[in-house]
Amino acid sequence: MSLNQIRGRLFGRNVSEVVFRAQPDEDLFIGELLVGIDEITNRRYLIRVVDISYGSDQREPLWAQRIAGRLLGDDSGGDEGFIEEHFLYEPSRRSYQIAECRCLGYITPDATSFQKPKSLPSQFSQVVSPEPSDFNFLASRMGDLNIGNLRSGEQEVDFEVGISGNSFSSHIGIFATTGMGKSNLLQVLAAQVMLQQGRYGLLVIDPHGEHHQKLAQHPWASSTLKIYSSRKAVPNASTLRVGLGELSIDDLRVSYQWSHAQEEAIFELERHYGKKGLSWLSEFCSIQDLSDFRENELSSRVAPATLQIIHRRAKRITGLSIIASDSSISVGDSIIRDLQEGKVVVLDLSALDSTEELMIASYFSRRVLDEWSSQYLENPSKHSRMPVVGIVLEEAQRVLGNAKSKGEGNIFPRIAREGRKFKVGLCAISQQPKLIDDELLSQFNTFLILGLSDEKDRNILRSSAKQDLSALSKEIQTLMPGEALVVNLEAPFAIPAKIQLFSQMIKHIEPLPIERKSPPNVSALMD
Amino acid sequence: MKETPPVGLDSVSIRLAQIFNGQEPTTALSDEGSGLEFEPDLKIQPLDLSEQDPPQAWAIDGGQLQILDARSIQVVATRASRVCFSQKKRVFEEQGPLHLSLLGGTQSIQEAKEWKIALALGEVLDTKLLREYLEWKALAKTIDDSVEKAIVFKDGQLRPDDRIEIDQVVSLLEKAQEKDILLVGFSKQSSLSKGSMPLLAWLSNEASQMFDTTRWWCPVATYSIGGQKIRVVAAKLDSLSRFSFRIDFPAYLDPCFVLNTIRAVSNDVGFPGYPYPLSVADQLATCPSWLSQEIKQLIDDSLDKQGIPLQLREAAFFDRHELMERL
Ligand SMILES: Nc1ncnc2c1ncn2[C@@H]1O[C@H](COP(=O)(O)OP(=O)(O)O)[C@@H](O)[C@H]1O
Ligand SMILES: [Mg+2]
Repeated sequence: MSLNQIRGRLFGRNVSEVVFRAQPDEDLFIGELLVGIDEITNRRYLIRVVDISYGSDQREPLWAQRIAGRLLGDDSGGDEGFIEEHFLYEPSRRSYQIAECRCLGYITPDATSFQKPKSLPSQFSQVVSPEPSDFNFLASRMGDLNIGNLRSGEQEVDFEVGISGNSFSSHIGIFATTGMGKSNLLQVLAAQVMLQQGRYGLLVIDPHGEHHQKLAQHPWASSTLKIYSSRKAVPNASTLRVGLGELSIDDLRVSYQWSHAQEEAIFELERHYGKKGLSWLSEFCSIQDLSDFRENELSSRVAPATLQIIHRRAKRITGLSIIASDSSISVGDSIIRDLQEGKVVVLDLSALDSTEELMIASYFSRRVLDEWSSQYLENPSKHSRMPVVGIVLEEAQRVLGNAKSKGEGNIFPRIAREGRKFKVGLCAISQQPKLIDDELLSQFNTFLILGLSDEKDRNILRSSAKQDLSALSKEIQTLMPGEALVVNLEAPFAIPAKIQLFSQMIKHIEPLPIERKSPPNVSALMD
Repeated sequence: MKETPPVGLDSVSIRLAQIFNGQEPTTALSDEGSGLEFEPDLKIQPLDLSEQDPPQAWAIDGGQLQILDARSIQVVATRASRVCFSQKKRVFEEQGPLHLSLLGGTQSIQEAKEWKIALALGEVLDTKLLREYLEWKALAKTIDDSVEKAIVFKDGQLRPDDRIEIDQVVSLLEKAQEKDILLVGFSKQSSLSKGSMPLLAWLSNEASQMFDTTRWWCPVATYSIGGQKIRVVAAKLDSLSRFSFRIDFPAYLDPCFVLNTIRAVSNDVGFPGYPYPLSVADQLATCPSWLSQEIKQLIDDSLDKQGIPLQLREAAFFDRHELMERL
C-alpha cells in the first residue's frame, strides 16, 4: 500500500456511516480498510468500504446514460456505418466514485487506543490508505492461534490475525460455501493448536479422511498429533475401536432418524435385555426368528415392521469394523488421555456413512464432556490445569438443527449450552448456518466467515454475530477462497483476514528440538 | 388549461407556419444590424471525417452578473475566463477576476475613464460592452501566450462591438496571422436569418434532405474588420450534434482546414460538435447567482462603514418584485 496517497475526501452522513468521493479511476474495493484523517484532532478514523457507486456533478439527470449510449454507438460504428470517435474529456472532473463506508472507530492521536465511533471526522477529511502502525491497537487482541493476515479488500496487510485458543470453549463456527476454504482453515487452526504444545486439545471428527494426511505433515506431528482410523492402510494411525457397551441409546438417537414407535421399541428392547450401553445389540442381532422373539419375549408390544427395521440397523452397526463387542479394546480412554495432554486428535471416519459418523462423534463428544465436567465437579484443581478442548464437527447443522437440537439426549446442543464452564467447546463447520438453531448459534462467540453465497445464511449470521455485520453482506458474498471475516468479542469490529494456506504455513515451522521438555501444564496433569 | 386560450393564438400560429414554410414576402439573408456581405447563393457541402489536431486549443468566454439595480444606477460584475487544452488535457485555466462597475448616467462615463475605454460622443457604456472589452483583452493576451499553429476560440463572433477601438482588434488579428494561429469566433447562438426564419435551422433542414451524412458546412457571408476579411460559415461538425453553429474566421484560412481543426477538439462525448475547451471556458466564466448575494454583502459592509443608512440603501436597491404575491 502506498503511503500518504490521497484516495478521496469524506463528505457526508453520520457518525457510523460515512461516504467519500474518489476519482473515477481510483481502485477501490469492497471490504477495503481506509483511514479518514481528521486534521484538527489528529484522530485517524478507520473506515471500511461497504459499497461503491458512480457519481457525477452534471445537472442533467440522465447525463451518464446519455454518455454511455453515445460511446456505445461509437463502438458499433455509428448509425451511418462510419466511425466517428468520441471521447470523455477530463473524466475526473465530470464523474467520480462514491464509496459508502462504515466507520469502525478511531485511533487516538497517540496511537495507543481505539475508540468506537462517537464523533464525526471533520467534513472533507482526506481519506488515505492505512499504515501498518494503524493496526497496532489490534495486536493485543489477536490471540495465540494465528490464522492469517489482515486483509484490506483484496490486499493482504502485513499484520497477523488470529484468535485465542480459549475461544474453543465459547464455541467457534466456521461458515462457508463449498470450496471457500473451510477445510484449509480448520487445518490451519489445528496446526496452530499443535504449536501451542499442550495448551489446548482438539478432537477433529474427520468424515472424509481429508485432514489426517495433511496434519501428519506438520513438523511437530509426532508429538502433538494422534490419528485414529478405522482403515488399515493409514500410516501412523492407531486402530479406531469403540466398544458396543460404551455407546448409548442417545448416540443412536442423534445419528439415526427414528420414528416415535421405533424409539419406544428401542427402550423396550433395552429394558428387555437390561444391559449397559448398546451391548445388547449383538445378542439382539443374532436372533433368527424375529416373530417368535416378538411374541414370546416382547409380548407383541412392538410392531413387526418396527422390530425388523431396528434389527436391520443393529446388524449393520454391530457389523462395523470400528465396533467391538469387547469394550476392553476401546480407544475411548486413550483418546481422552490424548486430549488431556493437549494433543490434536483426528478420528478418520471415512469408512463410515454419515449416520455412523454422527454416532461415533456423539460418543466421543459425550465422553469428553463427561470427563471434563466430572473433573470440574470432583477435582476442580485438576480441571483448572486441563486444557481447553474443542470438538470439530463438519456439517454441524445435522446435529444443531432446529428439530434435532430440541430432541432429548443430543450431546451437541448440550455442549453448546453448558460446555463453556467445563472448558469444552464446539468448532462447528457448516455450509448452511441457516439450518442451525438460532439460540444455539448465539452461543457461538467466534464466527470465522468465509464466502457465503446464500443470502439467508448471511442474514442468520448477521443476527447472531457478536459484531455488527449489517453492512457486510456484499463483502461476505464476494469473498474469494481463503478470504474471511473474523468475528468475536475480542476485536472491536469484524476483522477481514486472508487465511494462510496450510501447505505454506507448515513450511515455516522449525522442527522441534529433540530434547523437548514436557510443557508445564501437561506434566502437572500427571498427579 | 384553466385560462381561456390567449388572444391571437390563431394568427400567431399561422404566421409562424408561413415563416417555416418559406411563404414570406422576402426571404433575404440578414443579421442584426450587421455589415455582412452574404453569399449570393448558399452552397451546403458535406464535411469529411478528417481531423487536424492542433498543438494547443485555447478558449475565451466572458461572464456577467447584475449585483444591484436602482434603475438610475446599477452595480454589475464582469469577467473573462481562459483555458488551454493540449492533447485533450487541460493545461491552463484562468477564471479571471471579477470586475465590479457602477453604471448609469454620468457614472458610466466615470467608469469608462477608469477602464480607459474611449467612448465617442453619444456612446454609452453597458454590461455587454464591459464584458466584451474584457474578452478582447483576454484574447490579445492569449495570442501572446499561445504557441504557433494553435487554435484560439472566442465565444461569439469576431466582429467587435462598434464602441471597441478597432486598432487593437486589427493588431490582434495581424499577430495571429504572423503566428499561424487559427482565430475562431464560435457562436452558441446566432441571429442570422433567412427572411424571418432562423438561418441555421433552415440550413439544417436543407442539409438533411441533401446528404446521407449529417455533417455539413456552408459559407454564409464575409465581413471586414479594418481591412481584414472575415468569413462566416454555418456548420454541423458531428453527426451526434443536435445543432449547427455560426463560425467566424479570417478569410485567408482554408475553411476545410479550419473546420477539421475545430473537429479535433469538438469530439467530447458530452458535447459532440461543440469545442470542448469553449464549454469549459463557459463554465469558468459563468457567474452563479449566489455570487451576487456575496458581493452585495461586501458592498453593504463597506457602505455601513461609510455611514450610509441601511434604510436609504434598501429604498434604493430593494427589488420590488419580491413584494409581489406569487402563486
Ligand atoms: N487460505 C487460502 N488461500 C488461498 N487459497 C485457498 C485458501 N483456502 C482455500 N483455498 C483454495 O480453495 C480450495 C478449496 O478449499 P477447501 O479448504 O477445500 O474448501 P472447503 O473445505 O470450504 O470446500 C483449495 O483447494 C484452495 O485452492
Ligand atoms: Mg472441505
